[in-house]
Amino acid sequence: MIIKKILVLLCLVLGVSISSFAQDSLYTIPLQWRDETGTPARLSQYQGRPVIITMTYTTCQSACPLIMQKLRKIESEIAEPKNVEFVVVTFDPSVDTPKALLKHKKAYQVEDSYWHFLNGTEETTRKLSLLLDIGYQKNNETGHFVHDNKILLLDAEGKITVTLDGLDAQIEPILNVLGKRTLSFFEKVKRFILR
Amino acid sequence: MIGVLVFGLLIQSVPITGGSFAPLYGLEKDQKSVSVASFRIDTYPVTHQNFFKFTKAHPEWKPSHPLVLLADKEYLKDWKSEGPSRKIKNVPVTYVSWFAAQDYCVAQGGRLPTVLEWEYVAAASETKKDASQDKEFIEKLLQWYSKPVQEGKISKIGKTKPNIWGVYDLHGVIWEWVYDFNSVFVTGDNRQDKDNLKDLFCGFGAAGAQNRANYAAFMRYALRNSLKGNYTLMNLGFRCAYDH
Repeated sequence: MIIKKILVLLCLVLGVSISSFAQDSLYTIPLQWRDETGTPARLSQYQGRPVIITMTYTTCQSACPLIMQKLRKIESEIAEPKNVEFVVVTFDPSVDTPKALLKHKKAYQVEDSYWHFLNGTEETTRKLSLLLDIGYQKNNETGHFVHDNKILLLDAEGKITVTLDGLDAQIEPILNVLGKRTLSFFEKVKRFILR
Repeated sequence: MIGVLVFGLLIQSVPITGGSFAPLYGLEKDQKSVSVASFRIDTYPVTHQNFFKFTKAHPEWKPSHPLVLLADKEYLKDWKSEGPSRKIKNVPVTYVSWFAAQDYCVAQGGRLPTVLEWEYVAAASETKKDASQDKEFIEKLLQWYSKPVQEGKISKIGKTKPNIWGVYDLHGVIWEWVYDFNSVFVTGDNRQDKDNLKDLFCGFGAAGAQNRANYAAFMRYALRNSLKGNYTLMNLGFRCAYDH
C-alpha cells in the first residue's frame, strides 16, 4: 500500500501520468486543444461521462450543418443530455480560432455547459482524425475540406463504442446506449400524427 | 558545428521545386492538376539504424512501449529485443506506425510528406520530372509492384539509381507512409463520403481515375485507403519532408 503511494507520488513528481485508462482509451493520448473560450483542454477532462464527438469546420456549407443538426437531434432524444459531453473538433484550426468557434457556438444556441468546440494544431487535428478514423483533406485552392461525416460515442473511459458513419446513418445505436428520453403525452400524439 | 555536420550527413535531404501535376485521384471531381509548393525530402527511406537512434532519445517509441492506439502489436517486430541486428542497419525500417513515423520526422525538424508531395516526387523517373505517362517507367514499376516483398528480404537503401530529383528508393523497395494517407479523394459524383473509394477495390476502379495506365499509383491509393494510423506492416516504411 505504502509502496503504491510512493509510486504514485513519484509518478506525479516525474510528470508521468499513471494511466488508469484502458489500453484502447483515447484518453491515453495527450493531445492538446483550446476550447471556444480559449481555455486549454484535453479530451481526458471529460472522463467519467459519455462523450459524443465529431469533426466539422465552421465555413462548411453542405455537410457540417447536417452533422450539427444530427447532434442536436441526439441531444433532444437521449434521456439525460446534461450528463453527456458534446465535443465538436474543427478540421480547420487556422480559420476556426476559439473566437470563431465561440461565434459558431452562439449561432447554434447550444447549451453552454456540455457543448465544447475545440481548436488544435494542424498536427493534433490530423492525429485525432486518425484515432477517430475520420478521413479528411483540405483543398488548398478552395480552402474547403473533403471529409468523412462521422459521429462517435466514447464511453466514460474514452473508448469508442459507437460510430455513426455517413450523413444518412440512423442515430438509434447511440440512443440505445445512452437511453431514450420518455416522450410526453403530447409528443407521442404529435409523433403519431406526423408518422 | 560538428553536430550540424554529422546531422547533415546522417539525414540527407534534397530540395524539390514546386509545380503542378496530375495526380491519379484529385480533390475535386475531374480535377486535372494540383499544385505542390517547394519542399525538401529525404534522399533515402529512414533506416533501422536511424530509427534505433530515435528510440534511444524517445523511449516511448522503444519496441515494447507504444500505446496500442499508436502502434499495433507487430511494431518493430523484426528487432532483436531493443534494437535491429547489424545485418539490417542500412535497410529501411518497417513495422512502424504512422504515429511513430510522424514523431520521428518531427524530431528531425520535419514531418511526413503529404500524399501529393510524395506522388509528385515519385512521378519522376531517372530522366523526367513527370514520367507518369511514360510507358517504360510504368512498366518498370509494375514489375516491382507485382513481386511481393518477402519477410527479411528488403534490400539496403540506395541500391538502385536515384530519380531526377536525386531521391532514391521511392519504388522497388518498400511502401511509404504519407502524412494525410486518410485523405478523402474524390473519384465520382458522390462527394459525401469515402464510400466512393470503394471504386479502388473494384475491377473498373482505375477507369475513374485520371490516368488509366498508371496502375502502380492506383495500387498505392488502394493501400493507403486500407491503412489505419496504428498499423505496422512488414513492407511499410517512410521518409521525412521539410517545409523549406
